[in-house]
Amino acid sequence: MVVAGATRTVAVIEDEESIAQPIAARLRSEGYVVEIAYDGPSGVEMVDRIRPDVVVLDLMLPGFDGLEVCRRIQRDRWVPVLMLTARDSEADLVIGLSVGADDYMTKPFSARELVARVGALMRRAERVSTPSKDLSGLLRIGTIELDPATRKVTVAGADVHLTPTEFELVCHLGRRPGRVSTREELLEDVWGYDFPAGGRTVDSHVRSVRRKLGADVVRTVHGVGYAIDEIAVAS
Amino acid sequence: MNRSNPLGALPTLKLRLAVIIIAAVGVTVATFYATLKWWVLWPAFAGVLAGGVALAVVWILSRGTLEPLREMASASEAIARGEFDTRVVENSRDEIGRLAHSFNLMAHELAQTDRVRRDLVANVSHELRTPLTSLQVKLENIADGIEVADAETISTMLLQTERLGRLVEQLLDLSRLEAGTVPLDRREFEIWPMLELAARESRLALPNANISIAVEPRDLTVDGDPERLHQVVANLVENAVRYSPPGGTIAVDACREGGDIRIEVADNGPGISAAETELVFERFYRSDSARSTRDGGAGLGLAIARWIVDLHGGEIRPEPRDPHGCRMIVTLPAHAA
Repeated sequence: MVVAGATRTVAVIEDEESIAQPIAARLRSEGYVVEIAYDGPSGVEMVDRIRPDVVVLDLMLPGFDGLEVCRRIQRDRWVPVLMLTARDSEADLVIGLSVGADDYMTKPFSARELVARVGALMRRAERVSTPSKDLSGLLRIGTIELDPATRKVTVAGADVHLTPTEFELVCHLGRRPGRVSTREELLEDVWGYDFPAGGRTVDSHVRSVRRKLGADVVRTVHGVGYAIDEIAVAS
Repeated sequence: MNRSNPLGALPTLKLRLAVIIIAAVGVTVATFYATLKWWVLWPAFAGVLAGGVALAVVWILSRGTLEPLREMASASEAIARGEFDTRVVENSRDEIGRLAHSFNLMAHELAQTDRVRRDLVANVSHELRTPLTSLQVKLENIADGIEVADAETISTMLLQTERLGRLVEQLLDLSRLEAGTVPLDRREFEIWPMLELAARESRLALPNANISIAVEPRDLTVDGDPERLHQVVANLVENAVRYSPPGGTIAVDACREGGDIRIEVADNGPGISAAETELVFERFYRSDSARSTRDGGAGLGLAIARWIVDLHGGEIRPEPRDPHGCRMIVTLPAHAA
């Protein structure tokens, strides 16, 4: 499924050769150009060199770990990161520390699903780089202001940093005041997934948003999904 | 004096009760006497007044005596629910105070055990997930026709399966050793054949390994479980081979040292730093150099070796080798105590 005219590049940073190689083989069979690095420092160097469209990153790496790699490669430009972890409890760590991981998969995972998620992250990266005009109005939620044009976020006048994924998540909910979005809807519209896996990714991002913007910004509707209430959109 | 626990400084509960009783009786008698003598009141009224004063004295002095027990009862329930960081206040020196102290020690110990267990589960799951992931992605690739199931692919998958098998085996072994369910099968046996066998097994895995064996005297014997001690030596030799540079030499020596038998496995690998001399024996601990080695072990071998040596009443420790490398030294009592 090569998109006409453009070759997409994926960087795989994983210290286990027996995992990195077959993942790379599968991604290549889907038409991506793939490069592999086996530790933190060479991973960062590789990303700077080849400027990939998506990074698949293991959390536990020799040199420095995946969180540090994530921080360094996001320093001057946003690149979607799919993090691989070996422990369930690491999900919040990966997403919550605002290092900019956009999704995670827990080992052992399916390579088929990994490819689907990489594809979705590609599509999303494209959408983010070309923001549509109709959503450019300033969004106000209580004392919180989000400006889709500049991607600036302020809470009561003070600047707050949101990752692109968190920004889109808040925008999506904020544009539909009072309406409940299911996890599946959010995965489809914010992450661009056309498969139902990854509900916990949504939960982790919501937790992260609450930490940054305040606990009462996003309302949990048990068994259904999430919503943002009390809202005044101005332009 | 502490107002919430006025008699907290007394060393025993008996003394505390004696003080309360003497104080109560003294106050009763004094009140009764004084009321009758100076105010010339009815004896019945004097009795009621004295009783009231005595009650007040007992109530004040006994404060803090039973409170720790109530506190411990609710803390026990909290710990039973899994809240291992619950502690009680230790504010007296008597038996109840000591009980509170022991209670806190127990809670601390439980918290420690719980943490070790959690770490263990996390480590085990991490070690199991990695080979499983590698197998799953490989098999999916073959099923979807992305890779062909040639001899090379299959042998890498076989390696992962062996790694899983070895891990399960080691984990079971370690838990059996810790539980003490496998008694040692001790007897007097010659050391040289055991070292020879361990070396031969390692040469099988790495044909050009340079292993020399020296036993002094040649027919030196030790009293121990031959199979378990072989496991120790095989593990040390395997580690030495794994971390030695190509062409490195591994020296396996055994000799008598006082009343002990000393077995030494020396390599010229990266060595073990002083900070790591204890850590290497911890389950799942791997030094950075071990971590970067492809297909390294899970970090259980030395933990098992230490258990076995401990069961024999001996000791195991790493020492640096000149100019670089590591010497693993095992000392065993020549005869069982």
